[in-house]
Parts: sequence; C-alpha cells; structure tokens
Amino acid sequence: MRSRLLALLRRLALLPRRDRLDRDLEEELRFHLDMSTEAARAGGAGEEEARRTARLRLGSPSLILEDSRAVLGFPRAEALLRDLSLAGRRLRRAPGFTAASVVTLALGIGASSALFALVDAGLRRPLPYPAPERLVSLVETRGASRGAVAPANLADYRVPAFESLAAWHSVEADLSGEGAPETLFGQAVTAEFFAVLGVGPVRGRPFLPAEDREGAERVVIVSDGLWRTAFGSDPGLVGRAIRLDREAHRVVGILPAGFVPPGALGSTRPVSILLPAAFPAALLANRGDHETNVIARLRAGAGVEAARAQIRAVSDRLAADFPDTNGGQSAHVVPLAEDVTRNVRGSLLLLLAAVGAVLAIACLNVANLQMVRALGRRRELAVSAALGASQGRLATGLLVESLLLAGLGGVAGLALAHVLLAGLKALAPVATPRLETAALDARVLGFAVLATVATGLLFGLLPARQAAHARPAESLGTGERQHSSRAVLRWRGALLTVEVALALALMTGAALMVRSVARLNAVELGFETARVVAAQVNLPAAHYPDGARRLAFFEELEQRLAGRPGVESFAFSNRMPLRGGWTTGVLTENDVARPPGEAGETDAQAVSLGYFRTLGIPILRGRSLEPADREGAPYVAVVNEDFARALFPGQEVLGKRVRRGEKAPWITVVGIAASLRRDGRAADLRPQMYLPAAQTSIYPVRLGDLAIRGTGDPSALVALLRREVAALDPEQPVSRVMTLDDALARDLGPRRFGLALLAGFALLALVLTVVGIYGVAAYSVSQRVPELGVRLALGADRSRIVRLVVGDVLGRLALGIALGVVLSLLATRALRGMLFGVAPTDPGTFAAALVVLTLASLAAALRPALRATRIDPVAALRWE
Amino acid sequence: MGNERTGELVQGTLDMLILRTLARGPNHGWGIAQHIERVSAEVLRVEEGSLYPALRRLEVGGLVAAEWGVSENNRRARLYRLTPRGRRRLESELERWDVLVAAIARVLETA
Repeated sequence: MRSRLLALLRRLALLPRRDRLDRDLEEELRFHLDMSTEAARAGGAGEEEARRTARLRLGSPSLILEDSRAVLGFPRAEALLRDLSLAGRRLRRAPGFTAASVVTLALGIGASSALFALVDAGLRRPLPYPAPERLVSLVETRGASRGAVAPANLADYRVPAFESLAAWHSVEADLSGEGAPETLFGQAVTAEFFAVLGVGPVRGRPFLPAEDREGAERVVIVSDGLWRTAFGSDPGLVGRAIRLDREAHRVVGILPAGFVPPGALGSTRPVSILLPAAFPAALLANRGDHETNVIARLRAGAGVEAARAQIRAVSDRLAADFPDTNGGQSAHVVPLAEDVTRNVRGSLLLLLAAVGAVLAIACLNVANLQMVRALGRRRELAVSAALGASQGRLATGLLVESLLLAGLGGVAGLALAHVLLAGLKALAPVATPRLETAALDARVLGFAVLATVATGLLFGLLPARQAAHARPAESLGTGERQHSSRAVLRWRGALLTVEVALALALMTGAALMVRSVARLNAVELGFETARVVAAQVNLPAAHYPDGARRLAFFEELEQRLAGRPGVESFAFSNRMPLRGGWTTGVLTENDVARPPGEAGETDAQAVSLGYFRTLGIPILRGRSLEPADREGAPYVAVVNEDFARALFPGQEVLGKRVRRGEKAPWITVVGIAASLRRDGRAADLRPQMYLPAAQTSIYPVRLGDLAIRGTGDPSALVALLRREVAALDPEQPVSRVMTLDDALARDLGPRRFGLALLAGFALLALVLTVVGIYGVAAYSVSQRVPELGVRLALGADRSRIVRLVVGDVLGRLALGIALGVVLSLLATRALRGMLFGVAPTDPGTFAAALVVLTLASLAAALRPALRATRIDPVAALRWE
Repeated sequence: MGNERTGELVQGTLDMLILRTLARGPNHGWGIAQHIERVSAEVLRVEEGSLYPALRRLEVGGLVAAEWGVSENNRRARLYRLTPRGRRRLESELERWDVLVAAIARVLETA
C-alpha cells in the first residue's frame, strides 16, 4: 500500500516534466531511426530502401509517443477532462437546446431546492434544545378535539417515564419605567421549565420552586433581546426590579441570545419575558379549567410508547375518579418536534411532493430534448464508433455531457433558489415554523447537488443507452428504425398530454386568483384608510375600574391632541375597523315585517364624536352623534343603510327604536351613515350600529382603540400620541400600532401568498410544457422528413407544410387540453375559499387560460415547422 | 494497460531483460534492443512500440535514470543507466525468475 502511494506521488511529481520527456522521446526515436537505417545500409541496402525498412520496423512513432505518454498520465482523469471539454463544445454548438434544457433544469432544481430549504427548516431540523428527541408534548383531548391542559391535573401526570415535566402559557405584560412603556409578549412557566428544555438563563438563575407559588415574590427572567433593547445590556440588571403591569418584579436571570421557547417556535412575536406560572390555588383545585400547555423530557431509556401507556393509564384513572371534569377526556404524548409542526406539516409535505413532481417532469422534458438531439447526432456517433471508440466510451461521453448540462442547470437553479427562498420567506404565512432559519445551507446544497446528479443521470441514461446500442453500419448507411421511433413518439405524446393538462389546470387556478385579487383590490371599503394610524391603549382594570374612568381618559387624550400640528382628527372606540369588532343582537319595536321580539343581528361599536370624520364615513341623513349624547341623555345611535334594509325594510328608519335585550334601554336611531365593510375588502356589507362612547358603560365593550388621521409622517403622529398618553399616565403603553393601510395589506396576505405560489407553479408548468411541445414537434418533423420532402417536391406550398406540422402538434394537444379542462373544473373547487368575486368555474377565465396555452404551444411548434419548410426535397428523398 | 507481448515476452519479463542489459553498463534504446536480439540469437525481437514505453515506465519508477550523452558513433543519444534501486529490483526479479523456471521445469518433467 505504501509503495503504491509513493509510486503515485512520484508520478505526480514528474507530471510537469512530461512534455520535456516527450520531446526527448521524439529525438530518441529519430536517433533510433538513424541507427536502424545505418544498420540496414550496412546490410547492403540503398539509402532509401534502408530508410523505408527502418521506418517499417519502427512502426508508428505517434503510437509509441502516446503509449509512453500514458505511462506518466492519469488516463481516466485526462479522459474525463477531455470529455468535459468536448461536451462543452457540443453544447455550445446547439445553443437552443442547451438554453432550453438549462432553463428547464434550473426551474426544476431551483424550485425544489427552495422548497426543500423551507421544509427542512420547518420539519426536519432538530429543535434548538439539547437531546431534542427526548422532548414531548402532553395534550388533553376530548374525542377528536385537542385542548389545553388543566393545571389541576399536572401532579398526576408526573409518571416514571418522565425525567421532568413543566407547563407554559402565553402572557402579555406592560413594561413601564424604562423609557416609553410597552406591551411585552412572553410566557408563564413552571419552575421545571428549564430542566425540561435543558437550557437555562445565561446570567443569573432559573426560577426556584418557591417562586412558582401564588403569593410568592414577583420575579421575572428577561430575554437577551429585551436586555439589549430596553436595558442597554446593563450588566447589573440581574437583581434589579423592573415594573411589569405596574408591579415591581425582580429580575433573576437573562436568557441566552437566540433562545426561543417551544410555544413560540412558529411565531413572529418574540418572547421577551418569562414569568413564574404561580397557578392560583383556585385554579389548581379545578380540574375542569384548561389553561396551560405541558412539555416533558423522557427519562434516559424510556421511550415515547412507555410514556404514552403510563399517561393513558393516568388519564383513565382520572376519568373514573373525577367524571364531572375528566370524564371522556384522555391525555396523549406527542414528540415535541412533531407537535410544533402539526399545523403546517401536511401542507409543507404536499408542497414538497408537488415540486418533486415538477422536478420529475423537468427531467423527462430534458430527456426528450436530449433524445431529439441524439437523433441528429447519430451519424456523428456512428463515425466515432467506426473510428474505434468503444460503446462504453461513447456512452460515458454522452453521460458526461448530460452531467455537465445538469451541472449548469444546477448552478443556475441554486441562484434561482436563492431568489425564490427570499420571496417565499417574505410572503409565507406566519405559521410556518422556524421560517426565519430557512436558508441555503449545507443540507440544502447537498440536496441540490443530489438532485442535479440524479437528474443528469436520469435524462442522460436514455440517450447513452441508445448510443451504446447503436450499430455504426446501420446508422452510417440507411435510415431510421421506424418501429422504435414510433414507440418513442407515443411515449412522449403521453407525457405531453399529462403536462398540458397539468399546465392548463395550474394556469386556470392562477388566473382565477389573479382576478380575485384584482376584484378584491377594487372593492370599496366604505371608509378611509389613507393617512390613518391606529393604536391600542389597554387601560388596566386595577387602575381604571369602570367605563366612566376609561371614558374620561380618552376624552382628555382627545382634548390634548385636538389642534396639534399634523393632527387632522382623532377618534376612539372599542375597536377600529380591520382590527376586530363587536357584533350583537338587537330587538326592534312594533315592526310589521319582523315579528316583535325577534332579534336581528348587527355589528356595533362604541365610538367617539370624531369617529365618522376620522374614518371618512359620510352621514347621509339625519344627524351625527353630538356632545349632548352622554349618560343621562336619551340613548341614541347612528345606523347605516344596511341596518335599515335588514331590520326595517321599506320603512323610514329615522326615529325608530331598538334595544339589545328585553331589559336593555331603548335606543333611538337619529342618523344614517353610508355602507361599509368593517372587517376588510373580503367581508360583506353588514348592518352597523354606532353608539356614543359616552353612553356605552352599560354594554360589554371596553374602549381601547384609537385612530388619528393626520398629515405628514405617521411615526411623528405616533410619537406625539405616545407623549400625550405618557403625560396622562406614564406607565401606560401604546400597543398594536399600525396604519390602516398596513392592516389592509395584512388582510390580503394569505391570498397574495396563494397567488404567488400558484402563479409560480403555473409559470413553471407552462415553460415545461412549451419546451416539451418544442421537443415533440422537432422530433415529429425529423420523423417525417421523407414524407415532407416528397410533398415539397410535388410542389406543396410552404405554408401548407407549416400548417401540417402545427396541426399535428395541436392534434396531440387536444387530448391534453380536454383533460386539462376537466382537471381544472375539479381542482379549482379547492380554491373556493380564496376566490373573490369570481366563480371557480368562471368560463371567461378558463377561456383565457386556454387561449394563452394554445398560443404558447403554437409558438413552440412554429420553429420546427419553419425548419420543416426548409427541407431540401432532393436530400430528403435520398434519405430513405 | 494490460499485458503486451513482445515476440512471446510478457511485459514484466521485458523490464527484467532491459534491467539486465543495463547492468552491463549505460546504453541507449537502440543499443538495448540490439543487445537483446544479438545475445538471444534473434529469438527475442524487441518491438520499439513496447521498448520505449517500458523504458519510460522504468524511468518513472526510479529503476533507471536517463541523460543525454554521446553514442559510440558520436551522435547525441539518450543514455539509460541502472540506479541502485534498479539493481536491487533486478536481483529480486532474477531470483523470482529462477524459482519460476525451476517450477515450470518440474511440472514439465513429471509426466
């Protein structure tokens, strides 16, 4: 072994001298020839004869040189390099085919790599905790529905299979006293939480069991992010107290950078704080109160099955012992990794399957193209074979070409994947877990390389096999093997039919989505979103115990903001449009159309006087709300046209009275506002009732949302708002700040994503189909050269030839199109939830997709058809 | 590269003959071929197509070294000479050859 290694090293060392050795050998051979000539002459021959004898004796100097050169070479590697450069040259000589193949492959490999990155991040990458495979979730289920766990049952769930067990649930808390007050998002966890995860604070310490009790000292652990942004990375933070929800909490620990608890793995809201769960005694006593989520770590040696069985036994026992609360309920153990991805696994895997199919079609398409090319090159291959190239070498050469092509496609595909992934990440629904970690990393690159090599081999094998089996004499001599080419054509025709059907279905779906989004964009909301900023001010009940106090706060805020620079108008309500809202039943009085006592339903809001002006809602008749409409004055409301139509059809609604319930006070309608869609463009026009904020203490609504319409930079308005709120209450944060335009865009988010995906797939399918049609058309023309030649020779019009070829192609497409229409009719039903303003079977859209596909197909078939017209009839006739 | 035959010689045997020839002293390719032919009374004819690749192989393997020098008739010629390594290889090859020949002879003798 060692000697072989040394020998190899010696060869490598001598490599640079190879050219000189060859030159030496040339001279050596000349010397040899001279000596041989002299020897022959010494034997009595003449000069010329001697020389000839010597030369004959020597043989072929170039062969000797080659053999000698090969001693110091790496014949296989050099052959491979030669193959590569030859392949490169061949590809350059057929730019059309090469471009089409590379584009097809790039699309297939790019799309699948991007999606693989997404799926890998979401589904396969291990959770960011030590030994994540030992982590499980525990859920309580009743029948098929899954629910949160009751803290009262926690103690019973500590089974031997678990090393540790903890509970967590989401919380919000207002931070004050560190700059502007803000609302933080976090989790309340039991003391064992860190033991379960195997990750703990990097500064300070985890919670103590003593702190996880009702009434214990209030403590908090903050995230690294919060430590940096709100506390300026203050090293002395641990041990200090901060104000959360207006109470002092002592900071006992700071989490490591990048830590994300399991419940927040799919969310964009960062977890800033962890608080002790400290379940109140009342909660711990009530087994029917499901409030929390449970995670556990399996003991070493214990499996999920054992845990499942033990938990099952416990829940059965609990169901028997406490039939009121636990009857019919069972508990299950699920691996945490599975649980975290449960919402998206199905769709992600489906996506991956779809894109895998696309890749497969891409490969087959390229194989088709390559076969067309191989046909044209049969003579070249036959000549090579006749010159002595072995079948193996020919096949290897073709395979190398395929791999080179695949390599080019793969590189282009990776570039495309980069772009695609960025787009997917920007548009994907928020619920995709670990989305932010999706990247073109080593695993994805590995996948891309694998895909590239596999596709290269896949579509390279067929032509290579054909070449290996080619018999030179046949190819060099007479013409085609008709029967095999007919079989090939049929096979390819079938593939094309599938492609066309798929492409048509996808294009129709995409077209429907485009129309939906366009229609949606055109819908009138009925209120203004431009230049309006909305925000939420959640006044804590402890400091604002009743409606009157809250109203006073907002009215004072209104006064402070009135007339300030940039503020056109200000409004407050329970909820601004596009941010949720209240719906209630109302009873009408003495109504002919509706029997008295039967309730109608209406959207309702408690609004300030500035509401209509801020949101640009016109009052059509009657009056708007006035300052006199306060507690103590008669109860009034402004309603809209839809309210009037629904509850008082055909009547004059002004002056009519309604009330929320049998015992509620009567409300008189004093004004009519225009229709609007409170919940977004996709929502229906619904009845709306506007009650004066000052008269709504008796209703189950809390004032909390406000809106400012202004000029200039929205962030300046927000800053002004924060200042004024702070002036009124320094510890009160302002949250959920966004312009109504943004809220509107978010509303559109899922549809946009769906549209992007569908459009992407449709484009992909269309390109693949067009390439496929081109291939089939080219092949079919090459098959019919003799026939077309005859026609041309007999005087056929060139345009007739074109029509013949194109018609042939279209005829093959007909079946695909028919299938495609059927497929579309079935498939677009799945889109029903996303469509807007257009039916899933809208004939106009179907027709449009069909027309585009047909035109694209015509264009694809045109080039081979035009080439067909240039067939030289004489040559064609000779080509039997 | 496979086995090439020189007359009836196998590749390894040709190497051995070349080394043995050079053991007598440095020589060029033509000289080596001539020597083998002459000494074997024309039984063994070395094809140039095998000789020079063999010489290259021996040179690359470090068993012979080559230099440009002058031939016996004052021509510029590339002279090969045996290296110590080559000498050692020759010895071991000769030993093996003896063993091989004896074994074949024994087989041929026993009826």
